[in-house]
Amino acid sequence: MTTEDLSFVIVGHVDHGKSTFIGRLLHDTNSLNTDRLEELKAACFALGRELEFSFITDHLQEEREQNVTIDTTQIKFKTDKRNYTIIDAPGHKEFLKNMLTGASQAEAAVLLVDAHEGIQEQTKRHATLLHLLGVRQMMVLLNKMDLIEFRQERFDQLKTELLQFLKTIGIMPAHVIPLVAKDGDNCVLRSERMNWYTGATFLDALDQFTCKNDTAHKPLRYPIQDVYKIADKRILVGRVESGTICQGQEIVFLPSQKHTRVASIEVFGKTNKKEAAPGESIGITLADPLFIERGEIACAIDAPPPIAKKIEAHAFWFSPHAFEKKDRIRLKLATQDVQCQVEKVDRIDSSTLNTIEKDATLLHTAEIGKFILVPEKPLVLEPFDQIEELGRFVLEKDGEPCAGGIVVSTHGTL
Amino acid sequence: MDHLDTLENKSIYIIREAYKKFPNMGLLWSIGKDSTTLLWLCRKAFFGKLPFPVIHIDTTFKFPEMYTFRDHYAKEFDLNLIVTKNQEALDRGINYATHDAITCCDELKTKALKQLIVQKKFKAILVGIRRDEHGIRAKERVFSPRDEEFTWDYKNQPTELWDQYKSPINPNAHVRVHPLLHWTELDIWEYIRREQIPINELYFAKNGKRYRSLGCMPITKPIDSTAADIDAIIQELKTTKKAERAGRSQDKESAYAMQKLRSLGYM
Amino acid sequence: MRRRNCCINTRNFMTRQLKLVILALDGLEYDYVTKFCYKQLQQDTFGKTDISAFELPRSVILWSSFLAGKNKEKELVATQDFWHASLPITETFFTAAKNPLAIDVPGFTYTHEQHDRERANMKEFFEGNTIRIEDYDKHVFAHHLKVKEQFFAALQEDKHDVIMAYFSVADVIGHLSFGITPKMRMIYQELDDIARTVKETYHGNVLIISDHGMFARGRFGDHTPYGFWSTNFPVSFTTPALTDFFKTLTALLTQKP
Repeated sequence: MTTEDLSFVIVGHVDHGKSTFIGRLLHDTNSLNTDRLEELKAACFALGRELEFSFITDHLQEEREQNVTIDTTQIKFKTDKRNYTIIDAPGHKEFLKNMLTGASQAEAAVLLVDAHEGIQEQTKRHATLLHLLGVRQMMVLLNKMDLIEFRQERFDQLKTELLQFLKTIGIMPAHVIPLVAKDGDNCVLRSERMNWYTGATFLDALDQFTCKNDTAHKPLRYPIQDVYKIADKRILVGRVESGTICQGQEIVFLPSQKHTRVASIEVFGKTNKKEAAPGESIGITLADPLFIERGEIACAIDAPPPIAKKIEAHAFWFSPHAFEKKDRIRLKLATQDVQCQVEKVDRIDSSTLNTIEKDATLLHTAEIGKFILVPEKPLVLEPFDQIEELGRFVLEKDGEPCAGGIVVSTHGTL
Repeated sequence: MDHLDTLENKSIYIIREAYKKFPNMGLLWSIGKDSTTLLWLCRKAFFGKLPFPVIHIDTTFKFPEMYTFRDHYAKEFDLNLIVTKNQEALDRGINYATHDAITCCDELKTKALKQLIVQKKFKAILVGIRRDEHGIRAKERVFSPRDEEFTWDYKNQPTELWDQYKSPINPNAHVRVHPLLHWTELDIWEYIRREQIPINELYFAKNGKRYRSLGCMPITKPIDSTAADIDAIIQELKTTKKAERAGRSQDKESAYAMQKLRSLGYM
Repeated sequence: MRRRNCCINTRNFMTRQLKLVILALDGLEYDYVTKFCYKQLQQDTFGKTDISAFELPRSVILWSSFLAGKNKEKELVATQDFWHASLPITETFFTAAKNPLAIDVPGFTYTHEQHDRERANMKEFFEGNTIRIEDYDKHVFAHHLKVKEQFFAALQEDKHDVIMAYFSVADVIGHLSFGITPKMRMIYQELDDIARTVKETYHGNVLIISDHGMFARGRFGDHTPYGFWSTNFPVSFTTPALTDFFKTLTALLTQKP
């Protein structure tokens, strides 16, 4: 029985109720340690105080088993449909670094806004954060509706304002939901105090997001890792990054543009494998005797990716050495490895998310660069929000990894 | 793909990346369950025959059952097996009866490996360590550089991003590659069960005892157990983890608290 | 910040008689107050107290010494039952007051039935394993609410020139649950709210003081070797010895209004 996994990030000011919201979510999905919860509820009742969900969220680590394989803070809960992981975003800098370097990977985002405070600089900054990360699946939660007496007109006003602003940075939320995290309205259970709202509850909306697993339906992308000569077969090994590859399928190798058919799918110990799905490390043989090297990507012939001469990308510069525009850097994306020149770079402060300098000559440690990169050889890639496995890269200088980033868009394609 | 498939596929990817970067590579085989699983994964990665040698560092103090197992499978899997030992140290009389475990380990294992790496000019060594084995392992990376002195600067680790692994530039350095880093002990056993990977009989209970890990004979002690097959071992593993978590640490703290309260005159 | 069970009417008026309010919060930990930023507990100035002169940080001994202005450890330990020892008023700083009120103060007006029972429950929890945490906590919280009510009522009246109220909740609960942070935060918030009520209804001198602090060992709590103090009036010390307060408080009580 395989259940789907989905990880998402909750972005929002801590005072806007993030901790309380997470606590409520865990409580309502029965994800909290019951013994501990009973103990806390009894204490609250005996002292005559309300149970503060945010206190529970803030101290989950105390009860959780020490999971040594995880670097980032991850909070998990289950529903019938999926296993969810909330990726915590305590500070922008650490969070951006983790997200742009793959240390955490959120497939969706939730923007939490205090309805009473309205849309502030904070909100705009958080939305910018999501834009920088290329996270496209998102929803907005307007919390603390009780503080504005559950008024529909105010909600509609805020919603319009928000949608307008988000549009300017290319974000279209799938849902805008009014809720009260403290009391649970519209979190897991529908609110009885806002009958005018007929949209989804938070959990319903979350269940509607699509998982990474669905890359199986995207076009085929199979980057070649290496070529092995086994017996008298030339086996091209690699990992299916998106789509499915089947025996007999017509494919095109890019950037060389060579066409052929898949003669066989090779996996040791399986004699009759007809197809492979995303994530599988396999080998293939070809119908035609083509010379293919690492760096080539086998793609669906009817939906090939762009081959870019110029790339617009966002990257987190973590190297202790600053980057100079004239530096020669290498870009590593999937199995491609090319030298790049930087045509332009804007410097963004990773804590405040403000643009420090447009068209800069230097990029410092812990800054975000909005790059225009020109690879020496055309690169096969995808915008991160299309097929993320072909939209994320590492920048190296002198053999040292310096930055991790994502592709925003491609220019000048072949 | 289920959980084990995910782990398997990722490990194969890592192994293939390593081989592409460092064709002069070796697999460190301790004949234990983790490195045998790694060996199994390598066979899958390379479609049967490993294109690089398998190294066994023989301290000469291993259980006899391990030597039999090693020779049998070296033949069956058609391995290019290199057995090496620090003969010079053995001639000097380094052994467990007269020396402490750390000295033995250093002289008989570490030094032997160092000598071999230099001799064969290996650029990378595949090792079967897992993150959940030990606290310090939590900070390990998949591709972990070792300099000439074999030292590991854990504060200055290369960041591993988006499955892109770093190559060392220093010609005298080598890289340790850890394809099993994300596996837990339970994952290993469940994979062994699924794949029917051959496992040394010492792991199974005989006369109420079995070995949880296989080090050198003089320093490896068996645990009490009746688990005589893989299913039983897996069951035992699951219940032990639970018990450990719940019982042991709480008991220690409880005892401490009681003692303190007594000293403060409360009880 | 909304107050949950405000069962008394806190009217804002000047208390003429009242010169000093002391909130004695057993086990209040300095690091906790700073970490979770309890502003009302911090008042205008705050710091740690020095209890290095004591061999062990035992509550009744510490409080008795605070009241008497001298180290009573040797003397009290020699009695073999310091839990039930009681100082005569002439030995305490209350002697400088006209009409003092000391609610449940250890070594002075300690409510023995309650606290003896607490210790018995604690013993049962560890040794007999017959008491649940919930029941242990309930017994402590019920007493806390009674003390709070009594204290607030006294604040309303204009009868006393000094009120010292002792709240043991952080210490007693803490011993078995200091490692359960959500619970402790709730308790510290409760104490912070009490400090807020005092601030809102009384505009004179307030001293908040603890005998020792706490740290977690697993889910349990053990005493740290320093206490907490804070005032809303200027003081010249930074890390006073617990016995130093006697002088300051006596001066405040003998002051002309």
